[in-house]
Parts: sequence; C-alpha cells; structure tokens
Amino acid sequence: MSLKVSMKVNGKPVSADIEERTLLVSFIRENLRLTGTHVGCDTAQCGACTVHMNGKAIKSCSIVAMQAEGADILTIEGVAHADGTLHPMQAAFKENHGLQCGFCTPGMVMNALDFAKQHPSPTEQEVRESLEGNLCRCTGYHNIVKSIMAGARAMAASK
Amino acid sequence: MTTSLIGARVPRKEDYRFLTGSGQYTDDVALPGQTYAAFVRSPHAHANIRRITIDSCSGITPDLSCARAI
Repeated sequence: MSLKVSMKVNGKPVSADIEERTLLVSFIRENLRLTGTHVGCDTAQCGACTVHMNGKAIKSCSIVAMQAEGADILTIEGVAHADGTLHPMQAAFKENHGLQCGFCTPGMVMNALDFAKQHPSPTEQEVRESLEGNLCRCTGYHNIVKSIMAGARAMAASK
Repeated sequence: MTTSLIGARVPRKEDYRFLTGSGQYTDDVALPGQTYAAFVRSPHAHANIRRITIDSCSGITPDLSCARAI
C-alpha cells in the first residue's frame, strides 16, 4: 500500500507517494535524489545518514518517512549558503583536513552543527563524546575533533 | 626561490563536493535501466559442492541473467 507523505526539505515543500515502510533516508536519497545523505550501516550505528528534523540531528535510517510528515528537514545539501559559500562548520572541516574519503562527512557535519548550537565553546572531551554515534572508517577522528572545535568557535563568533 | 609543493600544505580539490553532499559514490549513481548484482555464496563453512542450480532465478526478469562460477 502506498501513501502520500509531505514535508519541507531544505526549505522546499516536497511530497511523494511512497510505501509505508520507506525509511526517511530512502525517501531523501531515492525519491528526492539528494544523495549527500549516506547509508553506511543501515543499523543506526554509523551516523552517515544524519539529518536535522525540526532543528535536531537524527539518524534518518532509523525512522520511516511517515514519521517526518509535516516536519522541517535539513540535509547536507541545504547547509552551505545559497551562493555556494561553505557554512563555517563545513569550512572548518576543509581547513582542518577533517575529511578523507568524505563518506562519513555529511553525517559528521550535520551532527556537529546540532552539537555546536548547544556547545558554543566545547572542550575536546565534549567533542569526542559527541562523536559517539558517528563512525569514520578512514579513522580521521583527530582532525574531525579539531574541525568541530574550530567550527563551533567560528559559529559562536559569527552570531 | 621557486615555489615548491614539497612539505607545503596543499588544499584538496575534492573537499568542496564531499562537504556539500555533491560527491558521487557508487550507490549514488542512477542510470536508466540500472540493475544490481547479487552474489550468492555458500551458507556452509565447510562442505562439498555437488551441483549448483540456477533454474530458480531464470525467468524472473527476462533481460537479466544468472551466472555461476566455482
């Protein structure tokens, strides 16, 4: 059975007829063709599918699209400014070599954005703890931590 | 003195697309008529293979096929 689901993604209203069991991440990747949100493990461990739902970081592989009915979703494609300039958190990842193969990066950035809103001046320990739900198979954690600390400071400074 | 890349920090060209979600990984590719391969491996850790039948998968989709290899 299919049903209609509607939500706002990156500020744009979207809707589609989908199967009830469709995961939010499948809806984003397959229906909307926004493939920046990745499926790394399909078991809510790796965090590559992290998006924001109503301003909060969630793992889009762990909810069905129906649960996001009417919600405001932000994916990695909606993070940079409209003119293509990187968001301070994205810029911090670039400057601090916080990515290698880049597969985990969208999830890392989405999680870091939510974290930095609540921790404008985080300690290294707090950043490391915030990464509990995001895996990097390149094992680039050291520079990811540096990036998030720099990104959080830049976000706080630009307020 | 000439500009040298040795020991210098070289900005990566690929970072922008990875950071904005516009990188293209294998699973992001969508071509017309695209299909997927599935590999069936032995479910037994130690066993003799007597025969492999692929009849059950032929005919499901006429344009796709099965192959076997030992």
